[in-house]
Amino acid sequence: MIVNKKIENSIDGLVGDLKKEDSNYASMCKRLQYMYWILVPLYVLIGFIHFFDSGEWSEGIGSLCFALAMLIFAFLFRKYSKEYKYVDYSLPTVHMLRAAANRHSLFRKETIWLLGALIFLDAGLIMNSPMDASIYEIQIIFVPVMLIAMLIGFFVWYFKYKHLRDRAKAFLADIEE
Amino acid sequence: MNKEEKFNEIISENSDRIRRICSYYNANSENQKDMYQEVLMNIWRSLDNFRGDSSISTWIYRVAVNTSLSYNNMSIKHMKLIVDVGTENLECILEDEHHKLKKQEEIKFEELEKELNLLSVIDKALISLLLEGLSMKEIADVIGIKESNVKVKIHRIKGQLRSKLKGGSYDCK
Repeated sequence: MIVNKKIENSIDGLVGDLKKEDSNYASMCKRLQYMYWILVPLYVLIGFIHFFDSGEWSEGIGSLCFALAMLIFAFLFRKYSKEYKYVDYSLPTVHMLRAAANRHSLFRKETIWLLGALIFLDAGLIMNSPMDASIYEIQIIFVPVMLIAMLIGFFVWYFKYKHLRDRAKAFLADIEE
Repeated sequence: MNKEEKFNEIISENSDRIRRICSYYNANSENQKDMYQEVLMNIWRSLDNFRGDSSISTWIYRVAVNTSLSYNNMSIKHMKLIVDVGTENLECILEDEHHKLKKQEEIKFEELEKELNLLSVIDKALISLLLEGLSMKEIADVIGIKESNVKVKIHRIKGQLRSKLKGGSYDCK
């Protein structure tokens, strides 16, 4: 009787912690999503203001490029946050392992959208160039900054996620052999 | 029924089953408790995806096996399959229609346990499901491969165990 009560209490505690974790995660995701959804119309608005102020298309289009980049980031963030939140452990093992191997891969199909966002950011910088910098001058700063960011991303993946991908692949090979 | 009620109902009806699976993988009672908690957490996280396409027991086994594969990243290779001497279904691993086994239970099970622990993690998962008394079809549903593949794998594992145990005190003639 006492043991059952203890088990009930520990499960109640666990459910409480899980609900708290769910709500913390949901509110964190909401905050980040709101940030992107605020930035998208903000850049569109800035684009219109620039265009009507200066009468130049380039500045308006530059801000629209930033808005498009934010839009892509927002959708990617939404997709990834849902994917990581709802890792489904009730899938058949083979499917779960394939999903895990894909989730922890360095390059995924969706990564191509990230490339699109970077192109829009670059285009936005070129069209809204500060201090009338030339295309080449912007690339001299933009390309190395992006390369450093990619390198950091690669190291994070290599030390944090690569072993998870490798393990999922090894298990898959073991099952499918 | 809300998520919490559904979760409590599943746990109250399946806690023994979950504890048993956790005990297959961990000798230490603390590790068993940790894995049990991890399975419960993953049941909670996956509960919204339960559509009733498979039986609740198959669903629970999937979550438990998948958790065991994701559990304790660093020591997965050293994970032990703990076999209780009293496990009812243990004989089904070495059972052969045409050959009756001699009853030297304790030595036989000890040696069998030793050999089971040398199996790969996936083979251990298959054997743990077999020990739970699941049919080949049910094991195929849990793992996500064809029933024929499960049969081949189980047959191969049994063959490996038989050949390894041949030289010892337990001889499957």
